Amino acid sequence: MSVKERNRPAVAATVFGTLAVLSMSLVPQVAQAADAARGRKVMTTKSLGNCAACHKFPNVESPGDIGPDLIESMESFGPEDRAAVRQWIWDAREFMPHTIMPPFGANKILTPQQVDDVVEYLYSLKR
Amino acid sequence: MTVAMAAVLAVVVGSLISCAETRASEKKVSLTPGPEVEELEQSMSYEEYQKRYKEVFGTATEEMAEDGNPAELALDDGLDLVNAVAGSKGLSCASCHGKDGVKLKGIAATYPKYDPAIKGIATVALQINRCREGNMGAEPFKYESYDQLVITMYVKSLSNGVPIHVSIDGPARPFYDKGKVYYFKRQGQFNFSCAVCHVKYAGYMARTNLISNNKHHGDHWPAYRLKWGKTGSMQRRFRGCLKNMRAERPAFQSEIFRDLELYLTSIANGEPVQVPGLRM
Amino acid sequence: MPKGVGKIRIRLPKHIAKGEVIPVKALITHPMETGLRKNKKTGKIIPAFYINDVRVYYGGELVTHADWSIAVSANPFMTCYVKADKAAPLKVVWKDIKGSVYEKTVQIQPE
Repeated sequence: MSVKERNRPAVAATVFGTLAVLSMSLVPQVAQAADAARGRKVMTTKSLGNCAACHKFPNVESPGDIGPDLIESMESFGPEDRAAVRQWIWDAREFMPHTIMPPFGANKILTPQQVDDVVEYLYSLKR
Repeated sequence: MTVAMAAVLAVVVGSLISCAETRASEKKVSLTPGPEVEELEQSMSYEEYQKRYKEVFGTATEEMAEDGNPAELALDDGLDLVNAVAGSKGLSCASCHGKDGVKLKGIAATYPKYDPAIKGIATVALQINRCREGNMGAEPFKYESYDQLVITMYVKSLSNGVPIHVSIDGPARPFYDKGKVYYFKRQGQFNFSCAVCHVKYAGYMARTNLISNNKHHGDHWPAYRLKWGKTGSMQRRFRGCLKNMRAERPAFQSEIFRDLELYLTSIANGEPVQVPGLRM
Repeated sequence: MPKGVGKIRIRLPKHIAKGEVIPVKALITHPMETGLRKNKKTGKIIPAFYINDVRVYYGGELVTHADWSIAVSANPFMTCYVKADKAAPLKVVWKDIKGSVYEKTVQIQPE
């Protein structure tokens, strides 16, 4: 095996890696693992989730009292209910037709990736 | 950095798309009271709301009112405009309505009201402009300009203390209904309606804001608002709320806004007019 | 608010009884720039420009003196109380940090 041939996979990997980085930077909602820290950022940012406007969760100053305490809400969800938790954020009208909660996913207030991140943060509250 | 920018872009594009969706669906909603008016229960009685208000703000509002309302000083400018001759016919408001507009006392308490000439609801601001154009041959005021606000404020302040009694029966009824449907209609990216906050969740906290009860929404406009640092009309406040809801914003004195103003003022029926208001 | 800098409105009660303590309400149009804000487009700091000295004279006598700073809002509105025991002019004087002086005199006429 020549030196040239041995190097080929490495080159390919580099090219592939660059492509992956590029595609990640252009389309952030594709192929990223959900991340609780990012989710929290979404929840406390006014122009994104702004969850603290209505909900109480740890380490936020003067949260609103329209919605329930998120730690208490998460008590009723087990690890198998991830889809339900996601649906609450995506479009809560499915569970409560007259809710005040904005349909974050259905009305494209958040990206699917951001919704996943928020779900991840909510599950981190259970530990 | 790029990830963040792309995310922001995605959000912006997303909101644009959903705005377009909202606009499309709005056309389908027929403006008749019916299934669109959601059944919402008042979260708490007005007395409970007042108690809650005291807990949150204490006596801050009274103290603020004691120091006086900056908008009061603009009333003199409104008075000057009422007496000022304008337009091609050499008339002023005072030519017909008496010096300083004295004959207008108590009139603003019946506004907004149905006007057969425009086959719709006339607000005080609209009426002043129609009077200027039709009877005085003068240029109408630009809505939300200083002159327009102070003359409206002055004319309304002539009715201070008079209980509001707007008519919602007879020819005004269909317009009242339209205003009510608009008040209860879910709209915008957040899928809010006016009523879901100001009826169902009035008295709750949205972060540090106490969501206000709608009982007194109609009785004090134009008002000086500390957030604006100036005087503004009720319809400017509508537009502010609609912006927060990420909904489409009708123009000043558009038909739907006048109907909405009628609906909100009718809620305040029986309360005394108190113009100019002072709000946070 | 009326546009421009230094437009003044002073309001007194319509009827003043002799010896009554009356509120004097005064408003001046002024940008009250703190010197901490930036122009959003150019990114340059907007230079400070605010009123720092307010005096109220009643019949030539100083009745109130206030030192204002950047915490006061644009188009500041103030209320002070004066015992109306004589028919005399009431003068309010504002001075800003660029040295401009704005003043207006109204007559207090107890009945």
